[in-house]
This record gives sequence, structure tokens and C-alpha cells, in this order.
Amino acid sequence: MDSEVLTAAYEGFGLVFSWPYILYPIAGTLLAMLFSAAPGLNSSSLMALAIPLTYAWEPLPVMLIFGAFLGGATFMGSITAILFNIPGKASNAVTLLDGYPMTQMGRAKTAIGSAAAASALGSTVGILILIALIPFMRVAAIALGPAEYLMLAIWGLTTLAALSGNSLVKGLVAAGIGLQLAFIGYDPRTAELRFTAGMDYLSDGLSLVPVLLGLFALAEVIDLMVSGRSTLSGRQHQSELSGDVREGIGAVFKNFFLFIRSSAIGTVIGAIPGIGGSVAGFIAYGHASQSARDNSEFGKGDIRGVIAPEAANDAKDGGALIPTLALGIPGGSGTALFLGAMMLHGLTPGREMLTDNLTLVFALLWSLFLSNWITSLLGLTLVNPMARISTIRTGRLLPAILVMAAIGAVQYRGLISDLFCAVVFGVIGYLMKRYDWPRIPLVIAFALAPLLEINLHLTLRLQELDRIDFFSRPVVLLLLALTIINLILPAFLGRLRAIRRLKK
Amino acid sequence: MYLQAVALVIALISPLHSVQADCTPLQGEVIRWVVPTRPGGGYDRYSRLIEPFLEQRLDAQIAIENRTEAGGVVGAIAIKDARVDGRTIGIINASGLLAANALLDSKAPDPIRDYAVLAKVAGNHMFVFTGSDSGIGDIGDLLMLAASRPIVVGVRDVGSASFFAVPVTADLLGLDYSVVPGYVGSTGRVLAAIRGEIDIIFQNFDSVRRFVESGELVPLLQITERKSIHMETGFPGTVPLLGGQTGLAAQQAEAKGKSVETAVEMAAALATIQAAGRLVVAPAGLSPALEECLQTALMETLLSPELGAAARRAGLSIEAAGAAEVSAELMASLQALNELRQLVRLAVERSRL
Repeated sequence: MDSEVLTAAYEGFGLVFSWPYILYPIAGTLLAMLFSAAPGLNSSSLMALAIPLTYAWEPLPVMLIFGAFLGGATFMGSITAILFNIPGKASNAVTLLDGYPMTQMGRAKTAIGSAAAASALGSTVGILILIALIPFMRVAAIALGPAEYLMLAIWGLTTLAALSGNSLVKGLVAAGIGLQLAFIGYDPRTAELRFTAGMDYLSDGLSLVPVLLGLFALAEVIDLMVSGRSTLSGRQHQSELSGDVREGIGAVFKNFFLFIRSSAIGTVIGAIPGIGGSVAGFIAYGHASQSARDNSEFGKGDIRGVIAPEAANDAKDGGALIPTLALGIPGGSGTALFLGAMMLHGLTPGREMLTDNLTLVFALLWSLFLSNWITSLLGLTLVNPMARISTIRTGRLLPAILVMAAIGAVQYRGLISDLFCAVVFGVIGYLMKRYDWPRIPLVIAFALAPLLEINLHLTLRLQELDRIDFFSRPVVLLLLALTIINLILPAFLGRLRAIRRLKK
Repeated sequence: MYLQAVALVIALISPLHSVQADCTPLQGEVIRWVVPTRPGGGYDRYSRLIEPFLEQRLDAQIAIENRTEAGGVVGAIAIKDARVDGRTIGIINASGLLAANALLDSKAPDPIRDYAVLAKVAGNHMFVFTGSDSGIGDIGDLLMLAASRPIVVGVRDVGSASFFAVPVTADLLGLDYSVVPGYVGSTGRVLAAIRGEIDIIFQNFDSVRRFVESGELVPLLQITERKSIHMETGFPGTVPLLGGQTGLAAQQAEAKGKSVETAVEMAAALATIQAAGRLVVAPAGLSPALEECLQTALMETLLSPELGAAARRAGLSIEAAGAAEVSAELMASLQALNELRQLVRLAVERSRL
């Protein structure tokens, strides 16, 4: 690695961990945690508030505190996903798929421990990849085009087969419904409305958060009411809860290669401008399930279903900084606000940023690193009181869950109509659960559909005009190979197991 | 002409019935500022630049909300349909909306009828760009290439601001072209041009300035009649103009034996529509006192030295204009659109084939 990069990394480290600068990442992290835990607020509102307040500051403290804002908000949303089936942010949505079933099994502590470890370590991997890529950042950010994004979406969709539970047909039908739901709204090429049934609300398309809250959180509330289960975990006292934090942390190391692969997936997807964190988590989850020797427990409380999305979610923060710093293209609203703050202080992303201001870039990265670790460590100290929630009687807990779900649904876009949308999907989710229709393929297809649709159109058009050669692009071929492996691996492994059984 | 005269009269008499600005209903409140594009694009950057300064002036908190779908139409509708209480404002692409509304039978709001215009932040300085590795060094290279094959142009969608500039410019220059619609956000198109997937893009200068400065994008043509503000403020290089008596449109018309006068008029119409630019608006029907408050606060903000300094640091140009001046520009744009109607309709049909 370039000695200039190493020197800047060392100087940046020295700055972050020196007095009084160390206070900025710490204060930033605590504020980000507070804002992501408070109903109706999130890290974006914190950053929007901070921009005018930090206007007169020097660039270094601004980089430090915004780095902490970016890193400090991700993990807290996982706790509500695990405990109540309510994701704090869209990017935490995947964690609930196995995190909440673990709570129902009385293993909330293990799930939270695992999420915290995967989260902190995942962010570290993301930052390390980012540091390694600094000299090639601009090339890396520009290199991938519609053909690669299309294959990435197809690769993600091929994991659906493994997530369809007992019935592949039901899984594929659910995925088809998910795709169809995502196509509601404006056609991205022609700006013409489609599938809206004349409803103005649908012209904006369905949003992931209310759909998820309905399908999982509200469906669970209905199920709890109908089933009459006494507590979330089915246990009355904390002493009856099995699992602990150490087991959760240990699980990350037991599944180390899955964790590394998921972190790499998160970093790569985070680096794609405008894709967003939720897709990273879904693809990592799908990959975890597809690559598992035994995936029968996914969706029922498999700890690998917590590790993979959490590692990807936090690693993607490092990845998202690649296009932000190299090209000035933010990956989402958080990095957009950070970009705005940077530019107000005269820090322009691009080659200059990566050469003349490299020490500042590293100060930002170390602050991001520190905030991810602080969040996870603080999260771990809260495990016991939080796990106790799963022993509270449902009669007392359900109103609180309903209020949280309602706030979550409305807060995302500020639309009351999203609450009604969540209720409709709550009923659909309950019926799917009751009649054993898998919900995960629906959600994954819904999340991946925009990436698939627009890049399918672009790729076909560019191929038609002879501007690209789909099959001569190395990343496309790599993803194609992974897709084929995804499709044939389950059948191959099944066959292998059958032969082994016969031999025995 | 009639519309322009009406607008001029409105502009002249408006200061005569002054309304007392009343900002008290907004003090301490949260004002939603809708941005119809993705975070990081030109509209978003302008909004986030203005936000802290306007907050101070209004003593209110501004929450920026990106509503990105359908080429900005969804965001524009969100502003139009918001409660008329001054707590929802937003930035719109007046040129794109005018064109979509007048020419494409779309659901896009009408910038003249559906909003209370608060101020203009900047005009659209539309340029034609190519990637630095495209092999196209200047507009001459592009014209030569167009003689051998259709030029591939990346656009957002059929209703976007750049879309109607494509057929008009192509017609004026005699270019055959193929459109690739679906590139979301200006950065998507820029990266496609840099990668070489497409030959050219039509883009506002401000939103791609950093790529021009880094040498990754090459400006080929200014879609204006006069030198753009960016060229006047010391940007290196000479980029030819499409419009004007000596512009490329006139030269091409003369070379091909077409009417120079018509070409100059069409190029002027295109430039007029682009000039409508980036407007800050509220839903129509705002009380005069609130409207006056927001207009005054915005104009004071846009003209303040602090914002000017921050804009220079962020590489954005401010061309503030008040509501009366903007109304006149919008009327002129609408008239100009009528001149280009047939061309744009043909282009839409072509893109849907």
C-alpha cells in the first residue's frame, strides 16, 4: 500500500484519539443512538439539525462528529427488530426474519449479542476494505454499470428458492407477488402510472417500511392476540430465558467465513450509488441461506440469519463512503447530509479529497470505526434489561408494540396513509403465516425489484444499441457463475446427501 | 406576446399593493422542504445549501424530504397537494414540469397554475457533455460521428427536463440519435458517459461541475444564446453556443440551406424554457402575508453574502430572482414551448416505439 496512505491513516488515527477531538466521536455516537432510539426521530434528522449548528466549526470536528452520526445509528434498529419484529430502519428489516423467532424461543440475548458482534466487526471489515481501496476508489466507483447491477439483482433473487420453506411453488408465487407489488407506481422510464387502480397513494409506489411492518410486526401482533400466548418468549421469568451474549458473540466466530462474505457483500453493495442498505442485508441473508449446508431453520431462528444481515448492514457504511468521497455521489440520505456538511466547509469530494485531504478522510473513517464499536458495546450492556421485555405479559406489551409499529410506519415518509398500508399488509402477513405461505421471498423480491427492473431495461437497450457486450464483462461473468452455483448447489448437495445415505 | 405583456404588467403593478409579511405562524415550526430528486443531485445540494440560512431567517426548522419518483413528478405533486399553511415548500424544475405538463399529457403539475412561486434559485445551464474517453473532443467530432451512426443519448425518463432538449437540439444540428431512458439521477447519467455506455448527456452545468473540473466530462455545447454564467466566471475553455445569430444552430441551418431565422427562433425558445430553472415554491393559495414572508426571507437568504460564500465553496451558482420576475419568465417559457410542441411530441412517440 502507498506510504502516503499509511501515513495519512496513522495521522488520522492520532487525531481521532487525541484530546479534545476524541470527544466528538463519543458525543456523536451517543447522540446518534439517542436519536435512533427515540420514536419519530432518526439519524438523518440529527444530521439535518447538526448542519447549521456546526457551520462555524473547523472541518476536522465536523468530519469526526458526522462520521459518528453515520456509524452510531445502524445497530440500535436491530434491537427493536429482534425484540419486537419492528425494524428501526429499513436496513435492519432483514434482522427480524431470524432475530424475532430467536426472541420467541427465549434466545433474545444470543441474538442481540450476535447482532452486536457482527455489527462492530462487519463495520471494521467494511472500513478495512475501504482503506485498501482508497488508491482505486474512483475507478471502483465508476467501473460497475447496469449489466453488473442487473446480475447482482438476479443473483439475489436466485436465493429465493432456498427461502421458500416447504413449498418451492408457494415461494415462487410469493416472490412473484413481491415483484408485482414493487412495480406499482410510476414506470421509471416513461413516467407513466401503472397498477395504481386510480389511487393517488399508490402513484408513489409502496414503501418497504410499512410493507415490512405490516407483514411481520402487525401480523405478529394479530397472531399473538389470536393465539393467546402469554409472553413473546413463552416464558414468565428471565431465569427461564436460555442463551447468552457470549454464545451470540461466539457464533460470529464459529461462522467466520459467512461473516466475512456477508461483510464483503455489504461493502460492495454499499458502494453502489443509490442502492441503499436494505438491499445489502437481503442479499447477504439470501446468500447465507443459499450457502448453508442445512438451511431448514432459516426464518425460524437460525443465528446465521442474524449474523449475515448485521455484518452486511454495518459494512455497507464503509462501502457507501466510496462513491461519496470519490465522486460526491451519496448512497442514501445519511451520506447526502454528510456530503452537504462537507461541502459547506469547502471540502469537495473527488481526487483532491483523496490526495490533499487524506488525513481528514482517515479521521472520518476512524470516527466511523469508533462509533460502530461504541454502539455495539453499549448495546451489549443493555442486553439483560432488554431481553427481560420478552418475559412481559403480551397484554401489557401489545399496545406498546402497536404504538411503535404505528410510529415507524408514519415516520418513514410522513404519510398517515402508510399506516393503513401497514394494516393491510398486517392482515396479509397474518394470513400468509397461518396458511404456511413464506413471507421472506415476497419481501426479498419486493426489495430487489427496483434494482432489477431499471437495470434490465438499461441493459437490454444498451445491448440492442451495441454499446455493451453483456457476456464479455468480467464482473457479470463472475455474478453469472455465482447465480448458476446458487441454482444448482441445493440440488447437487441434496443428491450428494441422498447418495451418502444410500451408502450408509 | 400577449402573455408576456400580461406578465410584465403584473410584475410592474405588484409592488404597488404591498402586503405586510407575517412570519409568526412559522416561528418555531417545522417546515417540510420537498426535493423531487435523489440526495446528492443539483436540486438536493441547492436545498441543503439554503436550509441552514433560511432556518435562521425564519426562526423555524426545515426538514428536507427527497421524493424522487417519476422524474421529479411525484415530489412536485407532493408540494402541490400539501396543506396550504406555509409549512410545506419545495424546489421544482420549472422547465421540466412546464414541458411535461404542456406537451406530454402527464399528471405533472403546472408551475404557473399550481404553485405560489417564492423565488428562483438558479437557471438551468444546460450543456451537452461527453465522457473524456469517448473519443469526442469537441462538437465538430460529434457532428462527424453523427454522420456515420446515430448518437446515443442517456436521459432520465420521458418527462424529464433534459428529454425535450434532446430532440430540439438534434433537429437543429441535424443529428440522428437513439435515446437510452432510465438513468436515475444526474450522477447515473454522468457515470454512464464516463464509462462510455452512451455518447452524450444533456446536463445542467452545476450538477456535474466537479466531473468537468476533474476532466472526466468534456463540455461540447451550451444550450443557450449567450455565454453561460459558468463560462463568464472564469471556467477555462471555449464551448460553442447553440443559439444566437452566430450560434451552431444558425451555422448548421445555413450550411444545409434551411431557414436561419427559424433555427435561431427555435434555439431561443429552448434557451427560454431552460431559463425558467430551479424555483422554490409553495402550494397555490397561500395567504398573502405568509407568501410575502416566505418570498422576503428567501430573497434575503439568497442575496446574503454568507450564502454567497457558502455557495462558492460548494461550487454552486446563485441567480436569485423574485416572484414577479419568475412569473414573466414562466409565461415566456410557455409561449416558447408552443413553438417546439410538434418536435417534442414526435420524440416521445419515437421513444415509446
